[in-house]
Amino acid sequence: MNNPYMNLPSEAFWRSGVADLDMMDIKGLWTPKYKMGRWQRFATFGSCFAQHFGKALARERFKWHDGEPAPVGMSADNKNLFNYERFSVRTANIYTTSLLNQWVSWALNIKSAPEIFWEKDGRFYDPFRPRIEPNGFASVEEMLRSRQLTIEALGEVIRTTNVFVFTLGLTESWFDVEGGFEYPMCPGTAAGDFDKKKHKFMAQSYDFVEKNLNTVIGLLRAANPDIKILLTVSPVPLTATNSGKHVLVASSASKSILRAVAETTANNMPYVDYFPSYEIINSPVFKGAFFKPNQREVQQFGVDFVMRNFFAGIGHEMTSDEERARIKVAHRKKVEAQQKMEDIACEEEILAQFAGEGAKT
Amino acid sequence: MKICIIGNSHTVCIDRAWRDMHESYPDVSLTFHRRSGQYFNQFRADTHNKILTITDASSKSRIQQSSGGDGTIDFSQFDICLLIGATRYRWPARVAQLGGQAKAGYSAQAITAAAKDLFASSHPSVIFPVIREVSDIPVYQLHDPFLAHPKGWSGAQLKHDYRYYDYPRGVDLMNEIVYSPLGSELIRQPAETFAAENWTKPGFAVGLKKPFPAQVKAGFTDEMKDDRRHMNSDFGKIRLLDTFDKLGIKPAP
Repeated sequence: MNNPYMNLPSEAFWRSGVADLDMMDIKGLWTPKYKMGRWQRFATFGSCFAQHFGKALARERFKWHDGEPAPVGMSADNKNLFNYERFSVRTANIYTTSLLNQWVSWALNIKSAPEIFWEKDGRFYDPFRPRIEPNGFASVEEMLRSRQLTIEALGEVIRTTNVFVFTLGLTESWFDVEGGFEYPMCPGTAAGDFDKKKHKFMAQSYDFVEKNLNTVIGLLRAANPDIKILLTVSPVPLTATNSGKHVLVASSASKSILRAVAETTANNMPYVDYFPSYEIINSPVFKGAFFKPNQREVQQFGVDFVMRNFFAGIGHEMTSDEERARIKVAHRKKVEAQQKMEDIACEEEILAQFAGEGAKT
Repeated sequence: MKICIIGNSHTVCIDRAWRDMHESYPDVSLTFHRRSGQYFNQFRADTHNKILTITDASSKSRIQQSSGGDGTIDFSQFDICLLIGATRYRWPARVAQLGGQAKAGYSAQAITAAAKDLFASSHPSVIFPVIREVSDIPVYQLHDPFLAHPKGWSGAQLKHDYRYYDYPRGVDLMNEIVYSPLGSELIRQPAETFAAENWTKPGFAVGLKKPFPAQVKAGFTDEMKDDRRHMNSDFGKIRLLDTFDKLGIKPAP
């Protein structure tokens, strides 16, 4: 008997693709739709999990787009504190497709960002990035200038990026009733004050998420016709829900919608792909092994496993920790040797011209 | 005015200039304490005798030779201290970038944090606390010169790659955030020494006649012989006069 399943690869069957394998040996989870590699410029945005993606790309010496570099000389600790190098620009977390749409509309001058702010104890907070600075801003003007810098940098990143990676995170969102704009977090949580007359909760539907995502992709492609989009869904469950449901159920509903939108969008558009970070962390096959004890946050080795699958998909072998350490040492030695050579070559010879001469005059 | 100079090879252009100038300044003395490279971390505070000592024998010998002293530095013998060089030539460009970023809209607290980090990452930062253990003497810092651009460059070749750039603003920021609280000041490279925002005029470069043995060993050829990091006495004179001007030192009438 002949049938379409007869010639399928082993990954197409649960037994050979999953059940007969150790979970860490499961391979071929993703085959990219379009070519990706070190020659391309990647930008990363989205929910918390997107940060891991950007860091891994940078660590593997891919061209991760740092569109809003930290002030020069800033230490790694301070970069972390001031939220530099987390995403390609300092948008902070973009959890929903509608929030991404909002940022992209500002960046491409389709809409203007409202000049709103929150104030507490003489410091000023950006309602669209309430935690972007450790203690808020010194003035409203400084806050607005900083936001404008981010908006301009986002526009530049959109126009010059090859692969735009977006991690979909949430469907629960908060809107300003009067202004119609979306907050990344419920006012009153990180900063600001909650007012039930002004702030409206929305559990986004499949249609709403998809419509916003399609709008964003249209805007990105209009600004940069060759841009490719890589979607992922954050495997991290909700911290809290305002839906009235149990957080576990609300999480499942939220992720299901996001996953379905990502699937449909990727299936409908040749320049949009979906990478299964959600499945890699969340599938029962992996027995929750990648989560921290709170069953929410992902352990570093889980992130590494996700990224190993990503790099394997595009034919890049991920650098081992040992190899990375070796490269780091070799690089440091090279720089030191070069500096030493410069010092010896130039400085000693120049000083030698003064040998024996009295210097006090 | 007795001036204590602690530095590396970048003191040479100052020294050369001073040899031609000193007669005009009979009330000023410059004492050079120098050796090559980055050695400021070898200084130790002798708080009992209120002097700086140096741990490395070779460095001590160079300091003795250059200063004519015993290899220690007694700040009670000086009115001010000038720290020269040891930042490496890229550092001033980073200061300039920071100034540009401040103007572009980076927050004051981010710029403040970065300025402190930028200072901490520069080699001269290690000597300030050591000096302050033994003396309150005013300390001024002259960073390495900006790299001289290759001869023949002009126009687009002189444009720098930095998105944001403002050298005077960067120096002002470093002074306000870092140097002033240390009782110190970072002194700008004078405007007339620049060919473009980011380059020292090539005419100021030492332009050594042949590659050094170590350069030859490292594969340098004749075309690569020019030293664009070290400047000549013309540059030293401008730098010194500018510093004197800041310090209120005038030539004898």
